[in-house]
Amino acid sequence: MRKLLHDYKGSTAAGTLGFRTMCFMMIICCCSAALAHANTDKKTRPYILSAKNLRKDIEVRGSVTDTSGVGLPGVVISVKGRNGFGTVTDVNGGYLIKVPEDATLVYSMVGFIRQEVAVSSRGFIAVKLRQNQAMLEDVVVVGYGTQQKNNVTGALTSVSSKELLRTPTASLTNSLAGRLPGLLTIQSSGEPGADGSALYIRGFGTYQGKSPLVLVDGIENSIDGIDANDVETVSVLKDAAATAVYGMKGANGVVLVTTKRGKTGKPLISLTAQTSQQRPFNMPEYLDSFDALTLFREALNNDGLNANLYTDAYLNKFRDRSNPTYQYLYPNVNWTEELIKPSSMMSQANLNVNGGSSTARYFVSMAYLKQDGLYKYDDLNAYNINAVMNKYNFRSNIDIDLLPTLKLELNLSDIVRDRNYPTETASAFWSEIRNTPAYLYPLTNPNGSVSGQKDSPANPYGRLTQFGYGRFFENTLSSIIGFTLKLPFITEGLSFRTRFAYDAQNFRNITRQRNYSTYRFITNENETDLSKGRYEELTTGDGLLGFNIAANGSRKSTFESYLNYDRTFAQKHVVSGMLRYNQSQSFLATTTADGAIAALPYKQLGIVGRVNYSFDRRYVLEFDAGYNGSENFMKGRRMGFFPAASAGWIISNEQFMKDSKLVSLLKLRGSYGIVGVDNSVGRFAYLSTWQTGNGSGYRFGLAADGDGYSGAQESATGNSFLTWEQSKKTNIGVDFELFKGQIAFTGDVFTERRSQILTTAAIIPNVTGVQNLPAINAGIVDNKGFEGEITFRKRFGNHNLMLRGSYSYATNRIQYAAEPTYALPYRGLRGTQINEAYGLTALGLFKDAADIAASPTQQFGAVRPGDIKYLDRNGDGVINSQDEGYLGQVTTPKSILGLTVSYTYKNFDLNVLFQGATGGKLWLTGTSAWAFASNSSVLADYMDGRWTTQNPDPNAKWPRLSSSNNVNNNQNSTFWLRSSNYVRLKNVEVGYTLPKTWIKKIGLTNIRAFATGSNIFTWSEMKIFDPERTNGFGDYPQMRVINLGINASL
Amino acid sequence: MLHCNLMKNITKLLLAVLLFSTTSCKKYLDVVPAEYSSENDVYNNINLTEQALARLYNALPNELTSPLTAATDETYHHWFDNGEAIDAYKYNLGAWSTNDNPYGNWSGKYQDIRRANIFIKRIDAVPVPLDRESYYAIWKPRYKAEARFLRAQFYFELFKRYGAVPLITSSNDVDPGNLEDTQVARNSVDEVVNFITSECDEISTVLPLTQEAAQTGRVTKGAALALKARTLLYAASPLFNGNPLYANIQNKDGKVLFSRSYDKEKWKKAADAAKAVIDLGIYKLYAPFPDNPVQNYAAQFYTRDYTETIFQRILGNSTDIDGNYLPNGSPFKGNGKLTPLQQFVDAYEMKNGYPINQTGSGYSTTGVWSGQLWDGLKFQTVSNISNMYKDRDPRFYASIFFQYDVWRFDATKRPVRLAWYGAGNGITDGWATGKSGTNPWGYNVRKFLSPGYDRNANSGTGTRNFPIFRLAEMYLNYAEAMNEYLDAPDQSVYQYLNLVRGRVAMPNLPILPADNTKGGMRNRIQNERRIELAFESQRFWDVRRWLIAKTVDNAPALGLNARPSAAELSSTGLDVSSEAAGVAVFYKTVTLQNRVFADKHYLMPIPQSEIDKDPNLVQNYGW
Repeated sequence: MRKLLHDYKGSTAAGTLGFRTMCFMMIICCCSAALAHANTDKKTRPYILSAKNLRKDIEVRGSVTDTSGVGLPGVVISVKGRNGFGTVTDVNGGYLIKVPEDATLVYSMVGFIRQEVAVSSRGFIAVKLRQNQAMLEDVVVVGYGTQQKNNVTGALTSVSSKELLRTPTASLTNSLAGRLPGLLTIQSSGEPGADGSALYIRGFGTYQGKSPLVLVDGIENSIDGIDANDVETVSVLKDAAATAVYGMKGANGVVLVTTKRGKTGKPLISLTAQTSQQRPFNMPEYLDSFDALTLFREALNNDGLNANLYTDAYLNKFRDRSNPTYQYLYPNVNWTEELIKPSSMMSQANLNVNGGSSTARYFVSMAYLKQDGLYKYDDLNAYNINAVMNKYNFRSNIDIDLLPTLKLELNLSDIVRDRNYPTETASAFWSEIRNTPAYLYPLTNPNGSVSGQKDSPANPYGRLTQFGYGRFFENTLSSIIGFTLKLPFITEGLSFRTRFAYDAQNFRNITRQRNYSTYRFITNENETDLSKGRYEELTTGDGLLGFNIAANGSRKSTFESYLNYDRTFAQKHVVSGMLRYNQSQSFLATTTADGAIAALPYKQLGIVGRVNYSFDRRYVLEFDAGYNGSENFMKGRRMGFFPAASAGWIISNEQFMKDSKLVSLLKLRGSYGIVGVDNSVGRFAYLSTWQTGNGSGYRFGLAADGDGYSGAQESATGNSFLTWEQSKKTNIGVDFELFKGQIAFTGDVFTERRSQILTTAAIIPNVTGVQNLPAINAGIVDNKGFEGEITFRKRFGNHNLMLRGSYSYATNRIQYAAEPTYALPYRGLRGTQINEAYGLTALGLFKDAADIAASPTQQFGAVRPGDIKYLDRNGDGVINSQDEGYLGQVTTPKSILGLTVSYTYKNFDLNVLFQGATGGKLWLTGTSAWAFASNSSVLADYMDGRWTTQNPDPNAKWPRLSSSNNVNNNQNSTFWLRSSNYVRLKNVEVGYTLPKTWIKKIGLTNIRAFATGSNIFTWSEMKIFDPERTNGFGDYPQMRVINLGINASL
Repeated sequence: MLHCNLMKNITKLLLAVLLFSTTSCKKYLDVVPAEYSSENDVYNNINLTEQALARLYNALPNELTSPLTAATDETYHHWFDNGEAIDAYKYNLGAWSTNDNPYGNWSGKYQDIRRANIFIKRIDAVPVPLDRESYYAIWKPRYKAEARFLRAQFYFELFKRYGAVPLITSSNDVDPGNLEDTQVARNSVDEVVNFITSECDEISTVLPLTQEAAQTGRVTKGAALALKARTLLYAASPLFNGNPLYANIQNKDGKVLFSRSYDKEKWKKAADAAKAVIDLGIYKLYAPFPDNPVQNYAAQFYTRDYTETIFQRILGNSTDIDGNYLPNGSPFKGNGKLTPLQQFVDAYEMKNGYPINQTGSGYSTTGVWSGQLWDGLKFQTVSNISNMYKDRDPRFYASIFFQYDVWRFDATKRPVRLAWYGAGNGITDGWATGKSGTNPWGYNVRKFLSPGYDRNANSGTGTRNFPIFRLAEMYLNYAEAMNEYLDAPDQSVYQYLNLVRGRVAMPNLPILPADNTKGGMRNRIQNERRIELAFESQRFWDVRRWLIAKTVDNAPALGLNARPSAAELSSTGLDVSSEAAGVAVFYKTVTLQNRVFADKHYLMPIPQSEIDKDPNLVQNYGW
């Protein structure tokens, strides 16, 4: 044992050395687990020998199996009334024990119902252990622990590994969409390695930092890189009772990821391999040259400008390909089609082993994922320019019972990502695609060189293929080592646990930028020999790959200690409690440019606790509290106390309902508490600081060559009274099950008042000359809403059907913001909602000149019929920026929908998920939305439904065309605010499990083949691009995925 | 019992870890925020204090790149896609407002003032190294005077925008819990003017007359006196001097913010102050090319010459302005940012001193001429130039590019071509392509451009400073103030005006009978100022203080017909893509924009957000 312990210490120290060591360690861990196994067999012998006594001992042999007859290794067999004496079953479930002939043997194992069998002088005893279903299913993960489901009083919801694995995605956050009521997911990009979703819990309660706290196995960490196969559950904690233990960090809700742990039993090896085809979908469509220029002619005419160049004959040449020069002189390039592949591949494989003996359990998993990008021409160069992610996941979660009372846990996980991208970033590249109209220049020149045009956007082909590439290496290590010590000698049910977690992320990004030349091809259009043109060089580059490297790392260490207590008195009083002390510090990756302050560690410290008391499985009372703080506030204002009280009444356990045939569960829950947020304004905002050596200095001298000085200035004005943001949350919930669980419902109503919101003191006049107004705790936001989930399960013979629908709604109102009373009230935040759109109110389009004359004067620019007409919101007879204000519509969804249909028949299974969001709007603004505003591509949608002189429809979808930026129309107004409501057929999975009789022959226990489709169909009013895009047209699109996979276990 | 001992040991160990961590937690959250620099750090170190002063200098205006010229009757800015252009548009169309005033600079200037206040309060007590005590014995009082000048300059920026503004001369800490301390009221125009001028008077005794070469650009006595002169000129002007529109603007306690009666003596004070600068006798008009009046004027704007400059914003070498202003065509490769308006071109007198619309001026809009033009480096023979551009004030040739004008002819090979010609991606030096974004209207700005810079070959650079005060302005200030003070102009008015004209070989005034009247001379002086100080961001303010903006900025902005219609081109009977067709319809004025200027626009509004926050602030007239 000592030796074993020693081994572990050695290997944790070595763990910092990087990836190779990591692999080595995983091997060590596996070996150690096996070693532990071996050790136990030897160890048991002295016990038997020392158990010599007066009665006549006999040897008892036997086997322990589960109900299906499979042998159970690691079952503890003890002798009733004789502490410390017993044995453990071997790998096949067999055992041999020498006991008195009248002894009673006790068979116990986690997850199974304990059995007692009298020996009665028998020499062979076979036992079948039944799984303890109630215990397996009824334990839920809560903040810093687990709880019997019966005793849960807070609002939380969780999803299991099985559900998560249904969505084949590279990013775990994307698997959560539609599966957790109250959790809003927004995926705005599909770029390999950057396609995670933003998560928000229960709408928005503050206008500062809005993201929830995410913990993996109890340690603050990021969720995206984790392999879904490694995850046991993902839980979302919503109300104060559930989050009070996170104190100053919990106000925005908490997401808990719990990874799988080993279970006693023979090794279960599971291999899953799948491969997918990803197709971009909901990409904006643009007009071809002929159509775009035809519209441009219309725009020039609308503006009263010279359109004599754009004769029909001229326009027709953009479609005429009868002469080889035409495609160069009259180009028509569909950039999306030319540069984007219709599909790309993603493959992933996961191999995990799960098992253990009575004293050691292990879960070891490794995974590989390769996601290919959509860029064409990735084989043009000797190097790859495509966006590609290779991800390797390693995890080993080991539990060892060092002593009956002392348990060691060790979690090691490493995520290695190796990504490749073109030098041009996705956002730049996709904006080039929309900024480069089809008629500007050809894809390439006849000699293959990159084409271009003076004073025009860069050629997207050139930027993609000739600009070099980047390789990004990244390594994320997470490790947790911990001990749990039972303290029965102090009191029964008390245990002590301490853990140390260390996380390290390192990256090395190599960018190999390449500067290239661009040319304009000039030739006579009637020329038939393309070699007879000449080339004008527009930009010059040497064509050599440059080299730039950026490497950095972050570190986080967490230490925590718990006292846990869990005891049942008189079979009716269940008391559990938890007290935890923690401190953590993290150093983020910073660069010289970020300054020294950014390199200071972020620290947290706190004591949190929970007491839960339940009486007779009917009444539950719980008190949770966090007392914690962060370094971000002034001494004396750092620590905050965050209490929550909650109660539950399980009516169905009352005498009068106990035998109800209709209601199998009815539970009421209620909670009230206070939680906080500490990180929504910059660091150390309580300090007044000066910046020295900055660029705003001055150089004297006759030729600006004299004495020079950098600048020094006050940069931040502190507010020493600053403290955390506070949230008071109330939650009332009900859970019920009817017809023996056929129908299950969980519903919650919540209100939240966020106060002391950390915000800028916009009430201080600028005459004070303070450059950066100090932060204060001032805003108040009320947030309320509800969520409900109903499940219907039914079995008809071999048919199993499950339907689950969920709906969540949250709305908020800013009751107070640190702002003055505005003379124009619609300009103030008060009374608005978080993420509310700001701009003008559009009243349709101007019909004619008389309409313009009869309306208030619009002062943004010249106005013609077909231009947008605005509301004179302040009634002063003119329309200008004074009429801009909050518009009562939000740019994030208010409701989230989810609907799951699951059906199994014999060996077939089918699972369908619909997911949607409603109540939000999107800005349809910027290049392309505003045709010809900046020489960009024109949306195909403009062909129909725009205002024209022939069809002067004041309610047309698009205003009249202008040949340049129409300043009047191109203001943020309700005209450009379009609904982002959508419902998606998010996921369909069909699986077939091969009959056991077949696969037994090849030595396997289970084979399941499955096919999955993701993002199959979207119903949305926003037809132009995907409604989940948060930034208008967005960049790399989301993917529609068709996936085939197989899972085999041994 | 091996395992029992082990267990006890482990328990001890774990409890020790717990104990250790809880005892250390007290200091755990002290993350050394002392690593931040504070005000005390800066003002306990003379080198950092000098940085704070440099930051104040950095806030001096650089009007070289100012967009103000496009917001008055000088130019038209046609970078539609550029935020700046849309700002100018707001002023052109009267669309700016109490919360949308991009040139207001209210908070920016008060930030600068706060920085100056802190500096002035703390400079005396800054410790200096023992071995440099004698050095700083001279320089510390100067630094303080420089900061006071700069603060006065910041107040002048506010004064010309808003008139009466709160005078804040101390730098109190801001307590978000005590808002009333931050709520100040406006001071009257007279108080603001008195503050600026008394500051200038006091520091002018401390400041040196000149600075050594390496310190050029530091405030001198002349700078302080020039700021005083300009402030008093503004204060005497009709906008502030008994303007009846503003009679009722008063604070909530009844304090009158704008003097209600006209005071002629204010002109005398302004004249005396300008004279005081002139009488320093150390500045003289830049005129190194007596035989080349065009170059005599032009060169001072692209060289670092200090004969005329009283106070300057020092600028590093840069070709940004060349890139922005040069015509677009391939030999020039510029961005043609600004188009001088036709009415601005028309303001240049004939070289005989007659305004163009004066009988006998010799001005003609028809026909062409050939002759010699200065291309920036040498004289070149040119032809086919419209008679509109014949025999004009030499400053016209130095300030404006027009059709068939020449620029660095050897390098560019051909004259400027701003009229429409060519189909498709047009060949003109403008952007007359029908493509969006930019529209030239027949002229480009030439003043400030450096012929030493070849944009085509990307060789050479631009070396210039921006003259915040130059002697010519003081001459014009004096002439204007005297003309307003006297009942009829006399030699004191003509004398300095003629010096300015003499530099560019313009004939002496009086020329016409009207030049002997106060009103006639007022027109002459205002026009002289418009021409001499073209594009220097003076006109925007001048038309306001003279109360003429409602006439000149409330009119159509005119340009030439550089974007003819198809019908116009084909009616010439020439090939519609030919240069000849474009030129044939070019010399015709077209309206670029109908500009709007109302009474309320003379002064800028106090930002509405400030009035919302501070109940003591009252708004300006009409807003």
